[in-house]
Amino acid sequence: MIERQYEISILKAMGYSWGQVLCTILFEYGLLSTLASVLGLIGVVVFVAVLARVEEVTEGMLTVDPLPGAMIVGVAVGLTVLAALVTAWRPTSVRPLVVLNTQG
Amino acid sequence: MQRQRSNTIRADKLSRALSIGGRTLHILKDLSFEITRGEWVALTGPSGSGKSTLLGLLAGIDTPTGGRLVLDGVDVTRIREGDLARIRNAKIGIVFQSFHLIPTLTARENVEVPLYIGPKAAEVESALPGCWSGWGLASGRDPHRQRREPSHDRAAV
Repeated sequence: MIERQYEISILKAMGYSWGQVLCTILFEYGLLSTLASVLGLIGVVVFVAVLARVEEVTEGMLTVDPLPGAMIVGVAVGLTVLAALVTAWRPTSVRPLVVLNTQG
Repeated sequence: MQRQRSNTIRADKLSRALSIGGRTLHILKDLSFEITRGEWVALTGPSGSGKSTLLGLLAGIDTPTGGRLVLDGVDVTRIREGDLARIRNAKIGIVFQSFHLIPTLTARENVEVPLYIGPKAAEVESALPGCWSGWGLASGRDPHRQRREPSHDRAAV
């Protein structure tokens, strides 16, 4: 996030408020983590289906229920957004000039 | 927000100091002046005299450590960060010495950046300055000019 401080400072210099920058970052991380979690879950479902077909023994033993699946996605997205909030708080709070002066 | 005389930039005992190694370095101290609408002002001085610091304060991207700064009738030293950001977006255009374009965006996207949060957000296309489409031809292969022109247009939108 520190590496993105330059971009954040430019946005703030152009008139983005601290809240708007923070929301943009949280939305970005939320979207990425949702996509990653859903793709991961689809991967697990496909893997389980293929395994059940190849190894008949496992048929019926390995299943992915919708509710736990949705909970896994929810927890993963929530933790990612929380981590983004914690790491973005300070870089988005710095006055733009402080950062821009060091990036001549 | 305190409303004061409009169409001016007025600094009243404006100060900016830094703490370095336990010592206080005064970059600007008790600076007072007034600039009225339509007035052209050139700021000159030797390197390190505080020109960039003063411009940073006037642009609302830095905070004074003392005094007051009134932009267009609003005392910006006593307003919330969100209100100051709105003023930066609506009333202030900055062309930085080293341009400060966002490297991951195209030239056009850089110009559009301030538009997405302002009152012109719904009409980004029409709000773009008329000259922007001529950059490619006008700038040629001069990298300095290729960065300067989007930077100027971004300040103007």
